[in-house]
Amino acid sequence: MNLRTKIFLLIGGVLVIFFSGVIFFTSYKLTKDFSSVEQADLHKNLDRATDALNEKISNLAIKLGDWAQWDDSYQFMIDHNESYVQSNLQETTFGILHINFVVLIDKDNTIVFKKFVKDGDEKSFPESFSGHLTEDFAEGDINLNAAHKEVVSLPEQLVIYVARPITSSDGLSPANGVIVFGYIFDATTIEELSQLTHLDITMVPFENRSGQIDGFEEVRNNLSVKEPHYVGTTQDSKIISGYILVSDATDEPIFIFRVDMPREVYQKGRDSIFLFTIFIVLAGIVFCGIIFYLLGYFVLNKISYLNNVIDEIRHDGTKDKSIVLPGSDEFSRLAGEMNRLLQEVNENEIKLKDQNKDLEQNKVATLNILEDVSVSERELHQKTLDLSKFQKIADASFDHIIITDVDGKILYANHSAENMTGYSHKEIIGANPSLWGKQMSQEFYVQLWQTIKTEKQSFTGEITNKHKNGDQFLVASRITPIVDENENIQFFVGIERDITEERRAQIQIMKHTTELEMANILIEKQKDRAESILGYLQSIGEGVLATDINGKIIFVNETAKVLIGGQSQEIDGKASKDIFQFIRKVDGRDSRVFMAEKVLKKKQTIAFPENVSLIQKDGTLLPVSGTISLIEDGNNEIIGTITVFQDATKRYELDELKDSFLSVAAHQLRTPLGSMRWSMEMLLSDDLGKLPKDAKEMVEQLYANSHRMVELVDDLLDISRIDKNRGKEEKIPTDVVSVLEDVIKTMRSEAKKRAIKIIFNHPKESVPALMVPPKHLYEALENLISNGIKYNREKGTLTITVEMTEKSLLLTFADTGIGIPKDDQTKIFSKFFRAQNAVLKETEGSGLGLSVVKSYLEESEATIRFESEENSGTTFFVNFPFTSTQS
Amino acid sequence: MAEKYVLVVEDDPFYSKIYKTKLAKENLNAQMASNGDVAIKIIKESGAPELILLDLVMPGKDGFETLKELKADAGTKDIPVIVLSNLSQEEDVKRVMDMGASEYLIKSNTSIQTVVDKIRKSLGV
Repeated sequence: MNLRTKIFLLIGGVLVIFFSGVIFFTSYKLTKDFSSVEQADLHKNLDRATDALNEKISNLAIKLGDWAQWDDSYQFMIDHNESYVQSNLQETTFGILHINFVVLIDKDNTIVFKKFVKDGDEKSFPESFSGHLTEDFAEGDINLNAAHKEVVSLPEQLVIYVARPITSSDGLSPANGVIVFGYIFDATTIEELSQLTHLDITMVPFENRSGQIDGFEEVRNNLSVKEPHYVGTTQDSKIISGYILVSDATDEPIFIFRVDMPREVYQKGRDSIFLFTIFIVLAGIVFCGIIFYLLGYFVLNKISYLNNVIDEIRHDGTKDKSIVLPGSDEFSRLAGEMNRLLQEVNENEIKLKDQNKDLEQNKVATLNILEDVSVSERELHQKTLDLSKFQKIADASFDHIIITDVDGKILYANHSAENMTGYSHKEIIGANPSLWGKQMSQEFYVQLWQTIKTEKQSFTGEITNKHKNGDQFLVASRITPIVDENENIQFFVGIERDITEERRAQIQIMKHTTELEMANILIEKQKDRAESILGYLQSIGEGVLATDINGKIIFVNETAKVLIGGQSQEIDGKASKDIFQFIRKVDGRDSRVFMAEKVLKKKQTIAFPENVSLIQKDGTLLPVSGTISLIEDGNNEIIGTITVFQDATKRYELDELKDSFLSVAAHQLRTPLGSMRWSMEMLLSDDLGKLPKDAKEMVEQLYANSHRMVELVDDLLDISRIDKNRGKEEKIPTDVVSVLEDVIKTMRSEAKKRAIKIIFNHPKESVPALMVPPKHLYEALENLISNGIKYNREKGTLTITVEMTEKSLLLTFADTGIGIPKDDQTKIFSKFFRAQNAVLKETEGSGLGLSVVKSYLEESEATIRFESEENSGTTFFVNFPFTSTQS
Repeated sequence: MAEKYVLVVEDDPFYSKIYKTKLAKENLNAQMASNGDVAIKIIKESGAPELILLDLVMPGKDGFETLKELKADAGTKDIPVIVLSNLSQEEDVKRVMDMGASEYLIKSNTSIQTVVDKIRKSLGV
């Protein structure tokens, strides 16, 4: 806020406050004065009104006095003459006298005359009035002695009456009654009063007979006989009302006069105040304006000017600036001082500028010098760093580094120089490099010096040196002269590397290279061979799949890909079991078979089990058969597996066909055989009559033959089942010893017939039960024992032994029979094979027995072998290993 | 109450003759039916037999079907049935036994005496 505004506000504020105060007080005072004047006025008016009223009554009293003191009146009271009335009490008289009632009462309180005239006409006299008068008389208010005036409130109207005793004109005679003049106090009277007093008077009865609020309650409350005047509090700015209480003779309030007075004085007062206020405000403004202007002229402008000038100076500088303030007051003195100040500042500024310039120049000079120094310092620092770097490198280098002066005296040698030459640092410094040299020809050294000293070129070459210990070593050497700016040699720097070993290594490498080349040729040959094998594998009709030891595919041929239903993406490296999934029906459900795992575990080739299928790409099952073997490297380490498999659909189909064929064939063969058997049974039991002896013998023979044929058919069926593992029995824990005992029991009669002795040896303690199919085991053992009996010599023995080892159960069947000829021994387990000597011994026999035995035993994972000598006997060894068969 | 009898269901004429001759010789009451339909007709006419000997391979309604029908009918399901056949496939045996036959005999491997004994037992003679 600037000065101007401050002053404005200040002065304005002060004036506002001051004048407000003045106005307030003045108006307050004036209003109060006016008010009191008004009040006084009003009271005066009220008095006037009262006086007017009283005067009216007084006038009436006076008038009455004349009549009271009149002999005619006196006379009337005596004789009640009519003429009195006729001449004096006409209606017109009432009008002249301004009265409404005339009543004459004699001294006995008898009304001798009464008349009521209103508006010029006689009206019936109100009884209430006459009653009242009589009362007053009775009470003594009206008496013969004194006058009486009263205001009476009658039911019909308000009446004011004056009563005087009637006396003679001379006043000597005693009063002879009372004469009463009365007039109705009504609106007309009020009107008269108003006109008389020039006041606005209204009249209301004191008692609010209407019962409604008429606005006079407050007035009523404030008026009393003691306080008959009341000036109301009024909001009206135009009229002020005063109230007069009029009571009757008994001080009973009768009615209230209201005197309305225009508030002229108040209005005038208000106007005056208003004008005064306006005047004051205007005066104030004018006053303010004048002051302001004067202030501005003498003070504020000058200050403002000073402000601006100083601002300018700040912005533009002191140059050529001066403050102009004419006059001789403080401001102009100030201006003068400031001017002088400005001048001095100007001068100082100039001085400073000059000084600055000098300083700048000095600064620049100093900076230049500093920069030079800095550069030199940096260069020096850099050089020092380089030097120390060089030294470090040199020291650390594996190469031998020496520095000599121009004559060859060694000034510096690094560690490697010591190591390489065998001489210590002390021995080297100051010596000549020939210390370890002199191994080459004279010409060589001459040439060397020529190059480095005369031609001032670097020498590069191989030098043979001598170690301190006498050994020669070969170095690759570079000797460089260091020249100064005048091309004078200052130093020689020699760097040498021992290449003795290197040389030797190079010779070795060349030798090895030749060997490698030969090996390569060999590898190529092998590669070609491998490729041709692979090519063969690719083209064969079976699927070939090779995996590494972790089951990852390393080779798969085209056929395998075809069998799996085509394989478009790369499968090398993928897990074989993810691509080639083999399944088998077990207990009606398809379950995966992992043959690679099995083969790795068993460490031997296994054939695919029966009923294995391969899941092809599209989900169909392809029956397959095949084998899976191990791949071993040169050290017999297992490095993977190889699976060879083929589509077995045809074979299965053939098998199915064979099955159904066999089944039908068996049935067809059995049917006639069965009926033959039964008919022969009947014949033999004489059901068809007794047969002659020869006939019976023949029938017996026929019966035996047919029985053989039935057995043959059974055997055929069994074999076919075995081939397909169809006749697979459930493996249950079986006690071998008790089975043997059963077989032996069955065979005893046969043995007895041929006089063969059966010896059975078995351990005392019970042997572990084997998980084998009992029926098949029984049949196998039965067959072995039967053979042992059949092919035995007369009175021979068959020794059956059961032995238990840690790992297995061993059964031996040793007979003393015909034995198996050497040439036939390999074929003995073949189907339908019968050795010649066996055929001779027993013409009967299908040749299936041992093949069945072998199949059954293998089914139980047992092994069978034999030892036999012709004409001596045969021993069969049956081995049940515990690991797989033990329960 | 009809007399107790055995019902033999067999289509082969020779077997049939053997049955008839032998059973007559043994004084056993038997009725012969050449196929399943005839068998069922006989049962309807003559009432339930004590025992049924049932061949499997027959023209028309074969032994399997006949057995199924017999076991499905409340009036015949409790009659013991011995199957006499020259079939020996495991599936056939199992099938027949599952259907409720009491025994399975292979004709060519069974003596006729065994058959006679079984009949005697069922007839109580």
